[in-house]
Amino acid sequence: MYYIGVSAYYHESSIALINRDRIICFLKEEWFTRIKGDNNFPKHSLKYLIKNFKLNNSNVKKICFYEKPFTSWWSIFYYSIKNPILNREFLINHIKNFSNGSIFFKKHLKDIFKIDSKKIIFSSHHLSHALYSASFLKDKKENLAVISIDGVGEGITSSIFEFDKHKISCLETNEYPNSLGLFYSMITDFLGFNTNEDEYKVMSLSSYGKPIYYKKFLRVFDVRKFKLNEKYINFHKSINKSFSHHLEDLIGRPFLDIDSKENFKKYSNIAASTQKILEAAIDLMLQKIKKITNKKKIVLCGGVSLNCKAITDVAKNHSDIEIFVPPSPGDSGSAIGAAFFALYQESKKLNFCHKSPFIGPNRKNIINKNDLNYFFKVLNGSKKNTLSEIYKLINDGEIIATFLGKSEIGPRALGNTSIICDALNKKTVNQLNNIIKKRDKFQPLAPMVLEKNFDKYFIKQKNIYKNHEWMGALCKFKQTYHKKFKSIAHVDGTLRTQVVKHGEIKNLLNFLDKKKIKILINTSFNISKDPFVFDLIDVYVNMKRMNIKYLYCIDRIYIIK
Amino acid sequence: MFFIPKSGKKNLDSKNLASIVNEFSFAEFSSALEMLFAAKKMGNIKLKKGFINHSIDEYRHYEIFTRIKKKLYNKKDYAFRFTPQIIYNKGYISNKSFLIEKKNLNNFSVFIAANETIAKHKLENLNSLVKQKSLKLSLLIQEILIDEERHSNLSSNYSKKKLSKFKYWLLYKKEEALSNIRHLYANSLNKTQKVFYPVFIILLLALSKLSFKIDLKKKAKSENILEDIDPSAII
Repeated sequence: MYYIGVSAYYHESSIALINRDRIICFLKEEWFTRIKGDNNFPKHSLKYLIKNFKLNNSNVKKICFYEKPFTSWWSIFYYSIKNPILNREFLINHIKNFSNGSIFFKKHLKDIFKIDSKKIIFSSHHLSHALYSASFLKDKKENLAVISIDGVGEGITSSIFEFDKHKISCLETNEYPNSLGLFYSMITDFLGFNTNEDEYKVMSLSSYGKPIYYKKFLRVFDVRKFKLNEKYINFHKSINKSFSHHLEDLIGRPFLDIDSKENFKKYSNIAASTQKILEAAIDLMLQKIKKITNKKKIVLCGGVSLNCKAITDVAKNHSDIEIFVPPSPGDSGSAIGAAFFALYQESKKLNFCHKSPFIGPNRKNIINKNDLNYFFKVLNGSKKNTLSEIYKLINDGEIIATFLGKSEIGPRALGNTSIICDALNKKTVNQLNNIIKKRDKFQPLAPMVLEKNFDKYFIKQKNIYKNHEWMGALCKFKQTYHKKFKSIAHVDGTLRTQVVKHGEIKNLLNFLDKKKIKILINTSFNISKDPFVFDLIDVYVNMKRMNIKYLYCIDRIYIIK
Repeated sequence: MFFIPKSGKKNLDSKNLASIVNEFSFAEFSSALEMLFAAKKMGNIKLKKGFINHSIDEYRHYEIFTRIKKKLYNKKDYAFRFTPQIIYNKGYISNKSFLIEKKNLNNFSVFIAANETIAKHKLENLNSLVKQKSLKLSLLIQEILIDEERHSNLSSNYSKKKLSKFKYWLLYKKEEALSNIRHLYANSLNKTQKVFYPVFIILLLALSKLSFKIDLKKKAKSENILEDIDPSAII
């Protein structure tokens, strides 16, 4: 029997299929439509599941949406309607979005999939986050507490949960608009980046600055009270501008061009101050949860926990606990949480578990051999020589795209949908970052390394080490290697290193290890503003657009025709 | 689906011109996605390759327009931010389906032929406006114009082979008319919104009087949240 979880209408839509207590498939709608962050009902993903798993009313037990649709819509509306004239722009837009929103989830679902209404259920936003995140941990009875922090969901901006045998207690919540996520997004907007998309740029930028605006920002977000000062916000009024003119009075002009040295310095200081507020607030939450629950393992989830710099810095103050962040802590991962919520309705047990961040469709099943032969040419004669061919290419300073195994669940490519090159080849690294990926000058690339080599090259922070499997934490090179690898480290010396423990990429790294290539650069196989490549046509189009020649795919190395 | 001032108009400032170029970049990006999706639906490998090449061209045009926009107006502004989702909001792509899901291949190629020709005329208008600002940027647009003509010819040649002359003409005129209606609709949206604006305000005032009765605030604490949640409720 199948259970389906759906997350949609706010951030990137996704769908998860589980059979008994095992995840069978996970899909993001953006993979099909090629529209990054596509938040529409995931109809293409659902159609894919129906076709490939022969889903019907009799073999699907339940379909669960990840949150309560009306509460989510109403809670934001309720806050703004108190001043209907002042907040009219936001309210009118909110009303217009009503018919395209999650309230019509059942209708949107039934347009594609004929299923009994009774089988359609609804989880709760932060609970879905928590269920997904906890599913990575085998024993839910162990010392486990969960903090979920994001923008807003059902009017709640953060929650603290405690797991205990067969139940989950919600110990505390914070309400809209007091949101750490919205505060960070507001500053992202102020700095001229896109909200809900470019927050990682603010995180990167923060390493260049000093938190000289921290005291001023405490007036905007009181970390002790977890309160966002309404005076500075505008997201309840406007659909574009999320900050008020009071913020401009406080820290100066928004949208400056950061290509100028002076503006870059100022904006990196603002980013650093924002980051410090975030870290201070998370730190206080951790202190609180430790005091209340006395747990030794704390899971952080919600979109805010994608901020690996905050996770790393805050963890330094909490070496007595393990801090775990799953590979897709944001809303899209919640589709899995929703599916587990559906499963719980039947089993009344919390024994679901999964380990791998690779749960998308297997590329072997979606690659059309005719297309592969038409658009690509095999470079090597036999499968046996593939790894040595790759070694030769990497050693010669070539860049290789990978399309292997199953696709990654989270926002970070982990080797199966990546572009890789030798970390020691400065010229290639620069070409990859600046010319091929066209990333901002303040954004570093990330290295990947075998588990056995991590200790040799990097300083290990034990309580967050697990998160390195999906680039969920930062680390620094050991002093000996600082100079040698300086070009790939961020300005503060940190790296979002991936410890490779899964997938075919591990075999490649093992081979390269014998040939003295220990560290590779790994960046996602997509162009800025596009989602990861999903099928072979995307692979071809993206390689053409990025001018990449080589592809590592199904045991072979190919050259594009 | 946007308004292009007459080519003779001379006093268009860089910001306004950049906003038109911005719309072109949205349109090209959307077009790239439509072609890519169509490529994936093709069984015939040559057609697949054709749509892929078309998609790559459109992606390139999108990048060129983005470059032109930045050259014309390089200040950060909400109006010039690009988030891919915006193409849904602006109606360049339907959130219900891609065109190839609604049209058969013949109709789809006539659609491309008609719309590429319309786009070419609009581009010529735009080009004369851009030329007044920069000859270099105008050359970039001319590069796109050549592509658009090629796309239009390839599509019309394909559909002319598959359809009778009369049917082709009929479908072409239909697509032309539909395109004009879409532009008319898009350009009149602002006016329509102005008409409905007072209605919305009255609705908001009424809702503000009633809304305080529906406070859905959740309990801050729950001993057993899995059991406290009603799975069938949307509240």
